[in-house]
Amino acid sequence: MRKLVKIKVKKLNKKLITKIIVTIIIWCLAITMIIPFLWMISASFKISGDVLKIPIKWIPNYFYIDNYKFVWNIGNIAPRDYHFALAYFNSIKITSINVFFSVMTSCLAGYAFAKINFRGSKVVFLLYLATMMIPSQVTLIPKFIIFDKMGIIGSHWTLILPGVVTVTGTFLMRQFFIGVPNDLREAAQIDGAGEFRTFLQIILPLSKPAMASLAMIVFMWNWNNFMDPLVFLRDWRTFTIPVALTNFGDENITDYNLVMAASVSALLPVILVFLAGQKYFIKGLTSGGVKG
Amino acid sequence: MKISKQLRTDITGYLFIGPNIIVFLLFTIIPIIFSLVISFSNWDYTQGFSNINFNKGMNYINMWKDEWFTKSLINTIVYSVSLVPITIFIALIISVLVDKYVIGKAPVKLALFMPYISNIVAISIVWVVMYSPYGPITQLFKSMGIKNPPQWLGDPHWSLLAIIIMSIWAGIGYAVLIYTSAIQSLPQELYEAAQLDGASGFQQFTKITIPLLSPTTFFLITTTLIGSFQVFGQIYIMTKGGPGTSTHVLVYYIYTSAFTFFKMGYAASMSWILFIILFVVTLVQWKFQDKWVNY
Amino acid sequence: MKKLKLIAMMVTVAVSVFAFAGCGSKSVVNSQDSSKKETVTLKLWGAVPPEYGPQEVVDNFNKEFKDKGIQIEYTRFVNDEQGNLKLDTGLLAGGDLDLYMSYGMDTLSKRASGKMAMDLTSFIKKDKFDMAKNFGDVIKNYNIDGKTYAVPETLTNSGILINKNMFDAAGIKVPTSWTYDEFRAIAKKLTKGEGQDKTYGMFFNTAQQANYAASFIGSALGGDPYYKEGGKESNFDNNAFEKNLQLTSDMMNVDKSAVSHIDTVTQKLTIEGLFLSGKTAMSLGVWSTRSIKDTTKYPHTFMTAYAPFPTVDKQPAKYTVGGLGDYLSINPKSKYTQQAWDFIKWYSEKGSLPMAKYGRVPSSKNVDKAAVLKASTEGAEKLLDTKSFNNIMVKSYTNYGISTITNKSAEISKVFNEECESVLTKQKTTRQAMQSAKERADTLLKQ
Repeated sequence: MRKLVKIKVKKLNKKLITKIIVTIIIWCLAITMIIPFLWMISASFKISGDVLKIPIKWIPNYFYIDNYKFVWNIGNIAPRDYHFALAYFNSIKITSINVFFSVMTSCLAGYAFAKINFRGSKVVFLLYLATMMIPSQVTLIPKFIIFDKMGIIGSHWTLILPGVVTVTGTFLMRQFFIGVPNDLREAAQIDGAGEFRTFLQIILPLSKPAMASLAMIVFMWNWNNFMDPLVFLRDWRTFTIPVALTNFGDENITDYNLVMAASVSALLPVILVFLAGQKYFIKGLTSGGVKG
Repeated sequence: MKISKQLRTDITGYLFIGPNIIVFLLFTIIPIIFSLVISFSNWDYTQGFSNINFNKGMNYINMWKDEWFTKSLINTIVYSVSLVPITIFIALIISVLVDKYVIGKAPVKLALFMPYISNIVAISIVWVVMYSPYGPITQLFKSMGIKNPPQWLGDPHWSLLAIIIMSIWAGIGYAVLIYTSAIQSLPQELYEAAQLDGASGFQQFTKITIPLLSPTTFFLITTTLIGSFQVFGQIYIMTKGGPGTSTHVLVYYIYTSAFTFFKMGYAASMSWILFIILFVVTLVQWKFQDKWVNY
Repeated sequence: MKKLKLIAMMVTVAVSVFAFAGCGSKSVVNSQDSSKKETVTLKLWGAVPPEYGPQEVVDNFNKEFKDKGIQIEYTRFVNDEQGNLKLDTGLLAGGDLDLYMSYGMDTLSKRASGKMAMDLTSFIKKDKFDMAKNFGDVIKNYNIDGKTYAVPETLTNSGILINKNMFDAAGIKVPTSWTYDEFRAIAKKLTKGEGQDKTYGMFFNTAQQANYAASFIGSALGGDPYYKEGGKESNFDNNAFEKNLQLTSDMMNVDKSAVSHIDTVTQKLTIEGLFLSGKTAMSLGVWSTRSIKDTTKYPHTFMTAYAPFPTVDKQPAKYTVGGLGDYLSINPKSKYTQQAWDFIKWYSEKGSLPMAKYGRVPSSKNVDKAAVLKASTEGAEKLLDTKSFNNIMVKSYTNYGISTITNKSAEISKVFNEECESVLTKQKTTRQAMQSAKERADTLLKQ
């Protein structure tokens, strides 16, 4: 009896040691990954001349918050207000709408492509896949022409209308749904449930982790999208964060400290969303999501 | 009236994809068709929409004589072939390790993911500084005793490698996110059974995890490959294709043709070549997936 | 029941979200003139940041024209590919843009041939606006196919920025003419120190454009240096290219008196960063007046003087690099072309003076040169050497090299940039590079 316990303890210790070693390695890797960001934050608190001094002072002797004041135009010290607050609001608005709808449409379509045997589904899906390979620069001018004919150039509709659907997202959800075993679906159908009901009540709850990942990815794409708003938006009142940041960067490119302060400001909401999304991940799992 | 089961299935199917496909047609397919049409012309968009001169596919022939095009193609292929396997391999290992062994998963995942969620403008600028002679990377090399560390972005022999390294750093987070969410959905009982049978961690990894993750791996290879062929942001900000043409990539040249030289027709034709390459590669992968992807 | 509730909730969310989206996206519209004397607001696009002159110009105009019912709103765009793309798409889209600036004859010709710039000939005739009287005889060189598509509002010049304090300390006089050899010797003399403490003799700013390494060729070859007469063949076999490029390359790589190209690129060095912090005695970039005057951002106390480009030998330069720039055009799709023309007239006749405060010298002969000089050096008397500033920046010359050929200019520039870069990074000799440039450019021109 004691011998068995001893072996078990030994095994547990071994597992714990492995855990600790791996944790340390991964943590070191993680820290290396974020070194550029540490540099970014540190630079955002320095004055222009100190940014590139060697040896590199990771934690500056002082915290020069005037950079942030400049970016946000607190106290009107900047020659021009870049209206970051307004850009934030615009970004949040467009991104939330696009995330909400594109996750919905991706799930619906992804499920259909994966599980529903409708005629033409393989061909249509292949078409989707094919369009992923066309770089976005190419559709920029044609989209512009279409938007112009619709009369919506300069408005947020130019970003919302195409943004409610994502081809990559559809692909992702399809792959996910393919991995979901068919027995659940068949059982529901035997019980007489329609396709939509099956989808809503049985399949969808299962896909919460995948949906959460998709939501976060779509959030990132939309938040960081800068080519489309640059071309389609004209008035500063409609600008999103990347455009405001690009404008800011263009004029102050030589002042890395300012550009870094602006970048850190643009980055913060994204980090918060990710942290919040993490919690949702766990919640989705424990609320009976994953078949265990 | 008796509607056949197949027809009913069809209708349901199309209803499900309805909103998706409408937007897709309007804002993806139609612009693409437009671009296909003008790829057979030498349209200069500043001339207005009525000045389209069709040159019967001369673009497709001329581009192979264009050394900017051929160099861009080669650079892009080198870039992709280096980036894709390394990123996915590292991401897979990290995801499994993080899931199984690591204490404090959330901050680690956040750290790995941060490059991906950042604005490409900001991180490109940071890496320019990192690669500069007075930046951390060069300092690190010097402190390790290397007298003449490479000039990275200033040296045509090192610049593409510099971009590749930066892109791996930026792209790992995405792959890790996809892998970790897939891993979380893996059925635990297979592992428990394997453990009872005495399989080691490594064996579980190769015999259970990798096969089960193969649909995800397929997805990642496909999307990462497609994405890497379309690299643009970091080139635009960090090197503008230079020094010389050492980091000149395909989409950068497409962008330059369209918006610096105003040759929309030519740019469109190059995008179609890009498309054909990716399409063929993906098709080959699709056919091959039966061999190694388990559903 | 549960399902219905869910659907109802989703629909409500969807509807409210779309309604919400709708109300935020009101496009900003010109105030339409409904009655006779309603005020119209015109949109003017330019690349100079508003606080460096344009806002003052616009404010002056708005005050003066308030009761005439015309107001102007200034929008700044960045003068790079993306910014110009934005401007071009704005012009193509419709009437939301009334006036705009083009920087460069090639950009202007593109817009002219694309019907994005209005032919001003009828306005000029109607108002008897004497272009030659206002801008000098050179003005006819800025017409395209005999028509006037823009009014050039700035006199651009070129030269070398000089840190006068360093020159004085070394006993060197600010030159009014010099040869390559003299220039090179001075740079060498003023180079001191090593590593991060090094002070250079010259900075060529090649990170922005590699062809800055060949800035001086314009003095010998004029406004279309890349082309032979007629524009069907490239001009890179002219040995002016080799000579200039060799000079720059030697200064960078042999004398090490000029900041090397690799250093410039990898450290993203700029004129403001280097010259205004006293790390180089000379630099390109006489357009940096507004930075010189900004002592908050670029604190410095030395005086900046100006010198012309050096010439290959003692013979005086055939051309002066510079001319008329900042081309102001009207969007043919604008609803208020008459009012736009009124602005152009006002601006050309008297309104452009505030731009001089930040280094943009008005082209109009109506603007008093003394007033321009005063405005330019205002507040910076200790920072700008008035005499040489006047000589290089304010004075207008009669032998400007004017650019008229624009065949494949963007592609040929790119070829030339790449070849320059290969010389500066020691991948090729100047002869090899120029031979290669000629071959590639000729192939492009034959297409």
